[in-house]
Amino acid sequence: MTAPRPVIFEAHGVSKNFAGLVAVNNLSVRLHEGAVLGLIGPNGSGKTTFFNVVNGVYKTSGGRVVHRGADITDWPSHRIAGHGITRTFQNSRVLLNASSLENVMVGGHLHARAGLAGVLFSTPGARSREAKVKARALEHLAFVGLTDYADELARNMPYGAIKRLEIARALQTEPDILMLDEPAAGLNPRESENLMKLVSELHRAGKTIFIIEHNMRVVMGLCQRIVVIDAGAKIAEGEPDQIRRDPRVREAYLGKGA
Amino acid sequence: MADFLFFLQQITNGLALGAVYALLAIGFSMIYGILRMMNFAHGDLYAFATIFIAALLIDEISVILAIPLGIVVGTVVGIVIERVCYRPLRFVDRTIAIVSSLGAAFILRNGSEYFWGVHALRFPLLLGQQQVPIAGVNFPVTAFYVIAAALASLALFGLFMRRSKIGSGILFVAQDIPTSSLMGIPINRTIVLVYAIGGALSVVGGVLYGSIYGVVFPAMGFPGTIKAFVAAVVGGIGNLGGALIAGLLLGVIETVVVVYGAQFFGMPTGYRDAAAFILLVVFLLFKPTGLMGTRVSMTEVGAIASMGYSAVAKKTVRLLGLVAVPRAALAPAAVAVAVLLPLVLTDQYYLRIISIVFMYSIAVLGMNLVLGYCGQFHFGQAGFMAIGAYTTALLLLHTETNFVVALLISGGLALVAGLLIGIPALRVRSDYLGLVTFAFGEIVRLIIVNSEFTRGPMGLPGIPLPELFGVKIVTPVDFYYYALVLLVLAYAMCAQVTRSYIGRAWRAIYEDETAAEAMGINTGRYKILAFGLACFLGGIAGAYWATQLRIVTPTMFELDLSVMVIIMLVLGGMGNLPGSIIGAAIMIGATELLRPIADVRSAFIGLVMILVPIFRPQGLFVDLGPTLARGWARIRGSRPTGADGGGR
Ligand SMILES: Nc1ncnc2c1ncn2[C@@H]1O[C@H](COP(=O)(O)OP(=O)(O)O)[C@@H](O)[C@H]1O
Ligand SMILES: [Mg+2]
Repeated sequence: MTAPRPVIFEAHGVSKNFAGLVAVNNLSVRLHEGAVLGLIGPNGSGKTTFFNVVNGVYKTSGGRVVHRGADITDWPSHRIAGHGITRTFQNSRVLLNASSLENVMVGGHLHARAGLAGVLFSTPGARSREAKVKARALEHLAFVGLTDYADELARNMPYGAIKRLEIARALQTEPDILMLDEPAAGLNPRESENLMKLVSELHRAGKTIFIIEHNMRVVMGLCQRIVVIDAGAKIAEGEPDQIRRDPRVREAYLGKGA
Repeated sequence: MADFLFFLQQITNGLALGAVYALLAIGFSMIYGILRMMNFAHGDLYAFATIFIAALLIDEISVILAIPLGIVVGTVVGIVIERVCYRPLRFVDRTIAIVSSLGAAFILRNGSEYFWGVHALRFPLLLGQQQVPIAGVNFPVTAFYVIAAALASLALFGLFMRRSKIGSGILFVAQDIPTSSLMGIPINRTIVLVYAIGGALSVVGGVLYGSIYGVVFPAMGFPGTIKAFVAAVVGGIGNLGGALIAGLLLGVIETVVVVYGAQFFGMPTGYRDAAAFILLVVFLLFKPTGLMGTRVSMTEVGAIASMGYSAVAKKTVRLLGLVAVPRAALAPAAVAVAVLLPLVLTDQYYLRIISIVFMYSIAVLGMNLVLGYCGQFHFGQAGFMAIGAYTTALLLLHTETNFVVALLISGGLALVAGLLIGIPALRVRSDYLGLVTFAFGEIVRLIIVNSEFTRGPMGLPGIPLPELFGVKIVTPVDFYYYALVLLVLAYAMCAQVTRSYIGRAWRAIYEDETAAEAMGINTGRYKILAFGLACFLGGIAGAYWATQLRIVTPTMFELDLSVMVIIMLVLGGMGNLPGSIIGAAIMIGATELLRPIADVRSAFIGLVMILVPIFRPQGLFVDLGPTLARGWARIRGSRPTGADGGGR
């Protein structure tokens, strides 16, 4: 084991209710710098909702979220992104009517800002920011293997490519923590394997990753730690081997009596 | 004591008016709450059907026949609006569906003006005009009848919603469209019903309105939409009980404000509609969820809806447009042609028309930023053009200000006004901006009509000719070049901004707000920026207009102007800058050609607004063949192929 890295992200007892339905129930999660943390659970167990709360799409019904010493609970999404947490969406939300290069450049928003005056008068500062964002976007496209699609409208791209495009866009924000919501869902086994290679590569490059994934085999291979939730509440947490053996997890996944 | 009784009398009158608003509001709130569709035609539907009834009654057709017929008309019109404006576009683009309902409003109003004239029609006081004197103050018994009749219809409606299978189907669809469809509830049929019932209820309101005031007229439609909207927001969108109470409250507030405002402050009664508007802004600022709370938190409704539908709904083909390929090369060429044009074209009439096209283009370019790029509803460009025009007129008439300075002040004031109304409206829901701006345009016109410093309906004539460094702008050729310079500057500004990270942020907001936020885009700020720039350009356009015409009058800035600007945008293509100029040219050209036949003109405008979205949601001028096929497919009700690109 290497020396433990610092905790950079913590959710304390986070809850989210929807008109009576408790979608996330008092969930606590810690994330170490440079780690890959998996969040698994049956369908409808509240994984995506938890991401939405952490990411500011929904307001919390209770609990706190802390990132690098700042209490980011209920911040608006864009501020959370500015603080270094970005995500992808389970149902890929790229801009269908923009090219993939433009899509990735949208992720560079925070680094492109040059002010209205800068834009109107095309100041050298504004131009160089824009050029940097574009160069970086091309790097990210290359990283996810989409260089050939740079000028293609997202609407014309195959599903697997869209999934990777979304990751490139998230990377373009230069996040401190990358949250991936089922990045391999709907991909065929080969695509899925490639995608997981991408994620491990990001891990090796030192990114902190928080990933929801359905495919147990994939999660087990990728994550150092796994949190399992059922009906919004944590039922287990530990290293992949522990999780594999945990009877509550087996029960949640396979039904009672398994 | 008498004062107090007088006050009670006003309250009674207010409640009666409020009962009408409640009937309007419930339909509006239902359509908005359930379908997230702002039905801009709601008030015009009510006006149309009520005037229809009045016309029947004038022809001595029995009340017993006329009212049910009118209700049938209202119901049918509601269904037609659903079928033509809403359903074909449900999966295409909500923005465009809303524009389309604006077209329906326009057609309805012009239709009733065409059939029954612009003037007020007498409406029989069906509930009598009995009054009971109490301590010297006459209490209108009619008012109590009206309130009772409204409450009875609403009770009936409530019973229907709770007890009948159809009613509970509607409530279920309101909760969750996808699930209801899985449970075998016929979604389309239920949605039609929502429109039909909303239409019917509003006609009942119209009959009561007629019975209170004894007259009905086409122009009552637009305030009807606004009142319905205000009551729906104040009551909490989708909260039908809230809409009822808010409707009553609105009626009371309006009546009290008008009566005592006139009595104590000499306020012209023309400001009646401003009361509703102020109430709205107060609520948007302090209690955006409404008096009684929305059923569901609107932000979450928005989040769910956009999550569920974004992939499917945002199908707009953002067109690269007419000049997609050689755009960069084309701009200087176009400017060169424009500069040389007066050498060839010496007819002053044409030069004037083209200058007006340039003026409109500036206003439309502004609309393009906010509506075409950012997807936020701005439907009141007329108000900002009016602010610009009057500011310039007043400055040039009464001060020594140079026209360039006046121009900038005009744009600046329009911008400030835009921020004042845009910030509270956009803070809540972008949809609200649509109605708020729509109403704002009317408020500005009301102020102009009712104020001394604008000389009311007479307007301000004799605006001095602009002058720069001793050079006077006099001839049509001078004005042509002046307009051209402004247009080139406005265009360059829009091109720079839309090409930058700001334009990218706008497009991200247009397509998917949640995703835009997740990428660090402060969506609120960028919406305001788009809206502010649009208002600024509106102000500039208005300022130019004032100097070219040398007179400004309130009639220049009627609702039709806002509608016209939107049509130009839709025609030329949202998110397509050169399209804005082309759209302006086409509409002005058509207007000039059709000038001798004014009725046809109105019908033409309305039709364009409905048909262009159905057939060409991306604007005119791109591949024509497949588009026609798709448009028909949408009317027939089949989902256009490929529309479900996100239904994975
Ligand atoms: N906006 C919402 N309103 C109401 N219920 C919701 C909403 N979002 C999610 N839910 C409910 O919360 C539960 C958890 O859903 P979700 O987080 O998507 O699960 P998972 O991602 O684990 O499959 C589900 O029962 C779902 O129906
Ligand atoms: Mg999920």
